[in-house]
Amino acid sequence: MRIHQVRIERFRGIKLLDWKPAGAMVCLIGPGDSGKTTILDAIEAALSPRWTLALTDDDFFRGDTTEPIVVSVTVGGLPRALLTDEKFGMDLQGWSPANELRDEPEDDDEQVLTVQLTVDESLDPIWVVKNGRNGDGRLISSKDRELLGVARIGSDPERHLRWGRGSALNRLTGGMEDVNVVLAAAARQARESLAEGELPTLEEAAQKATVAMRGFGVEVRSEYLHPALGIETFTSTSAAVMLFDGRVPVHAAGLGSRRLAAMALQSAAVRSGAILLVDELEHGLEPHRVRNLANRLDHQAGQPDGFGQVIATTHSPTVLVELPVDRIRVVRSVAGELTVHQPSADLQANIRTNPDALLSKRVIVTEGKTEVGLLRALDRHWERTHAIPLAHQGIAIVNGGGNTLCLGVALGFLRLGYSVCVLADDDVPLLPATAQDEVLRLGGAVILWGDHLAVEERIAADAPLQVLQAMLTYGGASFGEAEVVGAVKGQLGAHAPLVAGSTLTAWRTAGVPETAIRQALGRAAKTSFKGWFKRTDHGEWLGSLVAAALAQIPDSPLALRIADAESWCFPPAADDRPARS
Amino acid sequence: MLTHTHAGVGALRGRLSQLGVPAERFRVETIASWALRMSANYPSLSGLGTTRPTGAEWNATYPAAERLLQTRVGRTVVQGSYDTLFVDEYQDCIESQHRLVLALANLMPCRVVGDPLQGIFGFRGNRLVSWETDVFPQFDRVPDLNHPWRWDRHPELGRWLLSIRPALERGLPIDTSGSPVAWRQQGEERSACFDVARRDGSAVALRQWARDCHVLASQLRGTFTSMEEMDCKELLTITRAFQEASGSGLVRAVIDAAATCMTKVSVALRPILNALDAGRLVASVRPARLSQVVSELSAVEAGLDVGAISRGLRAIARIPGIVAYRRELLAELHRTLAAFGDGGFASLEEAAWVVRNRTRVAGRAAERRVVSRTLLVKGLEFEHVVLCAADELDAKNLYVALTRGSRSVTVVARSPVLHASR
Repeated sequence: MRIHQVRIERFRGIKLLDWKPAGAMVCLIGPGDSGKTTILDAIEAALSPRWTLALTDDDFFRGDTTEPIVVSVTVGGLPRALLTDEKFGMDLQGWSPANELRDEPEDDDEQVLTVQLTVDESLDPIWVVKNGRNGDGRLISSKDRELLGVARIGSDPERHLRWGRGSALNRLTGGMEDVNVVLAAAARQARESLAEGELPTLEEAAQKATVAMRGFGVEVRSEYLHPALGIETFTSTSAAVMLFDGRVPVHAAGLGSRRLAAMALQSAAVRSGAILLVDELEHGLEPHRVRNLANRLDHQAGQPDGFGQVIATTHSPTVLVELPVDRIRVVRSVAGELTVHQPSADLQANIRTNPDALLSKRVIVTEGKTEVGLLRALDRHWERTHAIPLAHQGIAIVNGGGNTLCLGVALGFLRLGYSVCVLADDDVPLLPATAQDEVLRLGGAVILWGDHLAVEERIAADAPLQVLQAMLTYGGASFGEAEVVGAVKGQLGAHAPLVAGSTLTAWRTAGVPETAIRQALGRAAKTSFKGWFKRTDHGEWLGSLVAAALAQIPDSPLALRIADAESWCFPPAADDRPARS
Repeated sequence: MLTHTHAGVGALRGRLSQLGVPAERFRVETIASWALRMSANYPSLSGLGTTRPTGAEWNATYPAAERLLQTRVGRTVVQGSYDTLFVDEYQDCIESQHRLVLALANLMPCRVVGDPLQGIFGFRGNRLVSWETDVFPQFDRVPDLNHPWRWDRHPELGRWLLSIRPALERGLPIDTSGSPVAWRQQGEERSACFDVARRDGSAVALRQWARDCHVLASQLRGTFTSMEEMDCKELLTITRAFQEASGSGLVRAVIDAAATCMTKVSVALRPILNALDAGRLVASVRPARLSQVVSELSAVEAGLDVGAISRGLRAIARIPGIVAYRRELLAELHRTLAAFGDGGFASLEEAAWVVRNRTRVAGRAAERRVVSRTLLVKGLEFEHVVLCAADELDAKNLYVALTRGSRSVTVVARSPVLHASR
């Protein structure tokens, strides 16, 4: 099964969402209050086989019950059992190759059903299959909804680790009738634990479960898991039977393992491709298990023996690094109106190297690594004033990769709804030229060092001379003192013959004008040896010098540009800027 | 399983449940309702115009369903829902139904059964399938079914009916003399029917045309009741007349309706009709034997409620000498008035439409003795049958008529040798 379209009206924090997931593996990210989990809740409510929903007035958007909650989910890849004329064969719609819903399916379309959940002020949920031809829709029973195979892995995965109603283990097991007879007998025998081999049906399921769980990275100590009675909840129903690893019930494992186990069972249980909804994929797992899980789900999703679709949420950079960028969706909420954005392929490299950026709210895109380092140093410097680091402001720093790429990266983030500031050199123009206007049009900020200068040149032009001296010494340490001095001399033209030694004061005394020194050193630092500071750590070292010197040069263009960046990062409280409209 | 009539659907369902086939393992429907259900759910793919067809509009449902079967969704649903198809009474298929069945036969194993000699449903310009040119080229033929199950207790009659098939097929005369079939001279229909009515068991008297049936039923003085056409236009005509009339006009419409269903109404109610002609109120009519009728019809005239119409009709039926012979029509009329009285219908006519539709699906109430036509009793079984004016019938109608009786068959004809009309 696969969800093609979701429409949510007035459910909890969501006033309206119209979304086409468009993918077998979809991972939702976004700020904490953007409604990611509510999307999963709504899908689960619409498709799950529960008989009823425990809803209250608070589940209505802003508690307003005058208009109903409506959740419509269009599902494809349907099991044959739902397609008979007595079930929903007469209510099919088409999902076109162009990703549009058609009321009657053309031959090229995938055959889909739209399940609609409506809850009005009576709080009684009504589930129907709806289309443009069947009026108010045809009621769909919980039994038929179960065929849609939706499984939710939330904070309560234990349910799936016992043979209870609707659990994955139950689905993994064939008929339960014989089992229930045995269980009734067992109950009569004063809660004795079951001897191994007494329940071949459950044994078989437990072995399948073991294989599936190991695949998901759950550690199983014994050769195979086995079913046994969980004493604490013992009744004569099969819900009391659960999986044991040796003498330890699997549900006593850590939360991460329990969740993995539940997912493994779901994947093994639903043949025709279940829809798996996972809240916080990384929850309770170490990074290597997170990676394995993200990878495994991504490879399984949409494959014949795997899940039909996986819709997950995450806050984990590890997950973002592991998944191709087209699996990621960014959720934005503006006053309850949700939008879901797909990152452009331009961002793939940035996400791989800097996944935190996608998990932030605001992004500074720099032209190169020098500025990244500079900003890190400034971050520490600003923290003294503002008492809060950029990361806690939800601000991430991203290397835009040069003058031809950084605007594209900025636009990529802007279109996903992030606030974006570009910090770039002014020596060569940013390309394409039209992109800069587009950045501004979308509400982005652009800060250039000015006067056609690159960052090294700007610093060399404006910083106190002791900073320049430190730059020269630092360059010398990296590339050889004689070599860097030679490089600066090469930029001094007519003044070159006056240069002797490696102290700028000596050069000044020898009669080299200060402006010439500043210009030559800036050029040399920018161009020779592929740039002295074109590494994040070098940039950061330089930045700490600059930060310390700012108080001495408050009116310099360097200080003013840095002040621009500071006020973008720390906007006045009154200017509570919206994410983006 | 597809068949043609609701009676056929009921019969097949009954047989299957007798045989212990679980209800979820089969589905029995008329071809018409199945085709409508399929095509109406996908109107743009099927191109179906109206989803509530009447009369000739039904003909559009078959090509519409056939078009749907050309689409992937149509095939998905059909193949997902059914493993195999049986079509009963195949001789009654018109060509467009035949094409629909062929489209279905492309999707799953399909078996059709029928009797070419019983194909009598070709009307409204629709050609019936031909066994030779339509059916045999498309379906493998299995050996003929030739055991006369219906006559297991009267095997002689069963054997004779089988034996006349070749002659009927070739249009040759049938000689009833010396056969298990009784012959009566033309003109003795009434006494033949009265004879049968004195015997045990159900009976049917058959005529060719609806009008003749009602006349014969009235002559039989209530021992037989007249079976109504399935669409029962007269019910709609009567209810429309009720709807449109009021005051003395409504009284006349009620009396007209009574006269349609009962004998001697205009004679018995002459004083009332005279009063109406003279422009006087019904209440002014004096004779004591009419007092009950006068009281109810006065209420009708005053327009009090539709219940008064029902009570008026019942009072008329109780007048000594009056006999109801179209009891099915009368019962439907009472049902319609009651349904309308209960509310929920915009008009009497709409109530009539719903009442009749219910009967169409649920089947008629079984009457012990009926006057009817071959078209209406096809698929039904009686213990005794009287063929009135057997000479009017063509070979197929003749065969259908002869095979309705499981115990006795009486033929009323000019001669013991029957010549099927062409």
